[in-house]
Amino acid sequence: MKETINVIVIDDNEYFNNVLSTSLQQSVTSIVFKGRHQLVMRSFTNGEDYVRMIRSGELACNHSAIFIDYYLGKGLNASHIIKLLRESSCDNMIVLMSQSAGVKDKESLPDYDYFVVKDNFAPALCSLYLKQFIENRFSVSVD
Amino acid sequence: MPDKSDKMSLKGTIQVKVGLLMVLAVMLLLATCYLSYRNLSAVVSSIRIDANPQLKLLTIREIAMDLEKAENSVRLYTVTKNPADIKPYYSVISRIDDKVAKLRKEFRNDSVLLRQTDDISRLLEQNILLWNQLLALNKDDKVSEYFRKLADQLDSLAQNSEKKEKGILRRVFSRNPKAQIDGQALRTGIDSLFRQDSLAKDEMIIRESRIASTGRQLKGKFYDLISRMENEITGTITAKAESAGKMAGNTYTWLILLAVSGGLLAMMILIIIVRYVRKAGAYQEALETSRAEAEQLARTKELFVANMSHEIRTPVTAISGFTGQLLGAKPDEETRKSLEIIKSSSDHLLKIIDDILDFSKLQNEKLVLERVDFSPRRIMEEVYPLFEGQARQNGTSLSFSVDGGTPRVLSGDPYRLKQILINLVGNSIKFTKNGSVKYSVTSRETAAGEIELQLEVSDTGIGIDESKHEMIFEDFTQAEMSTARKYGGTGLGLSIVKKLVHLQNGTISIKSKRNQGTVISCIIPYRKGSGSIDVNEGKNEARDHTELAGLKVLVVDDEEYNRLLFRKILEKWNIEVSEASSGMDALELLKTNRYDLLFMDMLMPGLDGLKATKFIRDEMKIGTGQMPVIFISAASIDEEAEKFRNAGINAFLRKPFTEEMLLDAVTGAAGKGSEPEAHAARVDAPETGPLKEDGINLGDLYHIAAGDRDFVRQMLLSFEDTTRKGLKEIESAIGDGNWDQVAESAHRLLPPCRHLGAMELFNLLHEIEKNSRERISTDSLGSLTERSVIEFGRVCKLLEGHMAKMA
Repeated sequence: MKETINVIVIDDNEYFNNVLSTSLQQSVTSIVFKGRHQLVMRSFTNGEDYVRMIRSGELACNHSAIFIDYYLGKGLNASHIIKLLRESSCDNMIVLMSQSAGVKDKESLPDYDYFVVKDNFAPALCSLYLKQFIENRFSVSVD
Repeated sequence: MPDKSDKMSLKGTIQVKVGLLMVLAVMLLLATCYLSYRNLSAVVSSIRIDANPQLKLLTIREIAMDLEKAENSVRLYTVTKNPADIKPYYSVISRIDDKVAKLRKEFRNDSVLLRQTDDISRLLEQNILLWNQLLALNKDDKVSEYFRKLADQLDSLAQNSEKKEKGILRRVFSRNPKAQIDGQALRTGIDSLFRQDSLAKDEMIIRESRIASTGRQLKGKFYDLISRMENEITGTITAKAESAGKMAGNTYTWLILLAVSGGLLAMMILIIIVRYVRKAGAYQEALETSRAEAEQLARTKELFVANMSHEIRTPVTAISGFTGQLLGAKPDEETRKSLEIIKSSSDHLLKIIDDILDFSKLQNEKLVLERVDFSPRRIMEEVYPLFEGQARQNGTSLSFSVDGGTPRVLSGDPYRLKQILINLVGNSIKFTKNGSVKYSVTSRETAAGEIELQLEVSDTGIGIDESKHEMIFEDFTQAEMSTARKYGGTGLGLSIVKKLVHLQNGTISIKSKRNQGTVISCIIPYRKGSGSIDVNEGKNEARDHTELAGLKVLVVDDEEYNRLLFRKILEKWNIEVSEASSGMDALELLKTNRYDLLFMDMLMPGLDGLKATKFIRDEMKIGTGQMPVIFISAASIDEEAEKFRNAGINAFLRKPFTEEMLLDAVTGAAGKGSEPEAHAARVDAPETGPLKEDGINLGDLYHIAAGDRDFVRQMLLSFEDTTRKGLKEIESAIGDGNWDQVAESAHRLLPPCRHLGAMELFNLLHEIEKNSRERISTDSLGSLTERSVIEFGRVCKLLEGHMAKMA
């Protein structure tokens, strides 16, 4: 049975969400061709939708690489979602993204794995972290 | 898991079982063949025997027919008196004897049939007598003459025949005067018959009648006997047929039994073989598992050794490095001595770690030799100062010589040559007190054009007993147990030397006697050096590092004390040092800063040095000429050097490093880094128009799209749409005085603007976000928003123009 790798992008900016999702998908296409894993790519412009799907069991939170923007609109930020994911004890990687590098210095931030500034290198850097996550957790070479 | 002895035992048992069953199978096969042959032979034999009685019966029937013929002939003659009619009779009776003899011969092995043949013979004799009497009653001249001829014939036969056994005719015609009719008596009888013919006419009819009656009786008896014989033969045939049938039945039974046994045996062999194959498969699997486990264990061990050595090396490097720095700061005498002890101890510890690492690599055949041009003289010179102090402390003189004919440049692995020399000289120094240690190099050119370098290290030390010469090259071995206690050491030095020499296709030999010193010689083949190197022989000039002043260097290492050591040394040379404790931090720094040189640690948590370097080269497009990357590692990277170079790493610096090594690395890399290299933009679809022009840069978008123009178009439309909406939200929020909403909306619009290179729009929106978060007046926000809308319109025009070109 193929192992499922969930790749989740949560960003309220549709443009960046799309760019990042495309970039991530391209970076790990090679493992899909190897046939042992299947990649489930989901993008959300709304963090609430993701939380609802996780809670309903519609989407597994295990084996997930989650790329989440800090500011999610409507006065919401990624903190409560990261907290929720950490409490679930799921085996996942959380990459926190923000336009501002200063975000990572916020004291109230829950534990995340990587921080990426949403600049032009962000898609490439996120892809690098995704590859690293897959290689480490699934013992498969992505390149 | 089965062990080796179990496997051997199983193999032996299986072999015995299969062997025994095979022997049994062969025996069964042989028995089957034998029994089948025997029974089939018997059946064939009986068939052959069965064929013969038919011939015998034929002979008997021939005799019977002959008798009929003879009787008819006699009867015809008695009626016709024609001598021609009696001829068949004589013909028959002349052959009858042969036929009876033939029959007797055929029945010679059967007493019953032989007896009956004798009876037939006797009856024939009587019958012939009767027929003769009948003929005598019908005599005439011709009859008499015939009888005379017959008598002559009989005489002649009597004289010539040597047969002991008498034929029927002979017996008939050689009877005594009373009971036998011989030729003379027959003639007399015939004469008498002639004479009495007229007298006995009446009596003849009566006698003829009596003779005929007797003949019939005899004939009946004769046929009865023939019938009996036929019955006897038929009985025999039937008995033999029954016997053959029985034998065939037995054969079938045997064949069935043997076939069943053979089948069972084959099944047993098959079961045993299947079981054996299954067990062998299980053992094979267990063996594979064991091998995999052993390999995994070896890998784990190797990794453990590498990791441990790294873990130990890192702090020891720092200790050694900082001690060196403190020693360079001219401390007081007491502190200097203490620091020298620390330095010496940490260097010794590093040497042990190096030995263990090298030994592990040599054992696992992982050590890869380098091939570069080097100066053998320089290596000899470099080794000298390493032991000069120690030799002086031991009261030992240390000297070296380089033969004048030694080539200035050779091609090979100088690091390993130096390692061999350091080990050998170090050993000699260690075991020589108040004596002398010399090392020298000579060379000779081989027929193949190679240069054989002969290293010789001689000392006047404690020497080694001849019986232990071989042993000292073994792993973890020293000549005496007490040696390790007295002089220290792991016992790996000479073992490593031997392995290194052999790895380079060289030879090593030793001449030594206890208390008479030691001479160790190594002959290692090298190629002639092709390039010219800066040999700088015999010079130990103070290095000038003023040219390095002002360089900007980034040091990336997760170990703080390593970064500090770098900083301490580099800042002495007026180099500007920046630090990053992880690969991620380094990338963040590189986004906004440019450095002349980067020192990158290999192993770091999160993003390791290799991946970070690859990202710098591939994604950030900072070329090797623009910013050289020097990889720092405690482990040897020989076998992966090519991979690292391909990732964009310029040079390597091995930990622990000396100030000199660091200076070499910085000067070397800085020199190479002087070539300007363009910071290449990511352009994947240049033919579609101005990707980079005043206000936009679509390079990144095209890079991600990987040639998918529809995606590009879709993304551009998406940008226009979301930005338009976002700007309206900002305008609306400004109207409502909702500062947070203004900041949030502006913030959300920033990444796409930056991604498309719309930096003017980006800056305006960034200003809006900043002002709104800082609650700066709505007037300025309104002005900024207006400018943003105008700029957005300009960007949209550019994008639409681009899309039009795409179409």
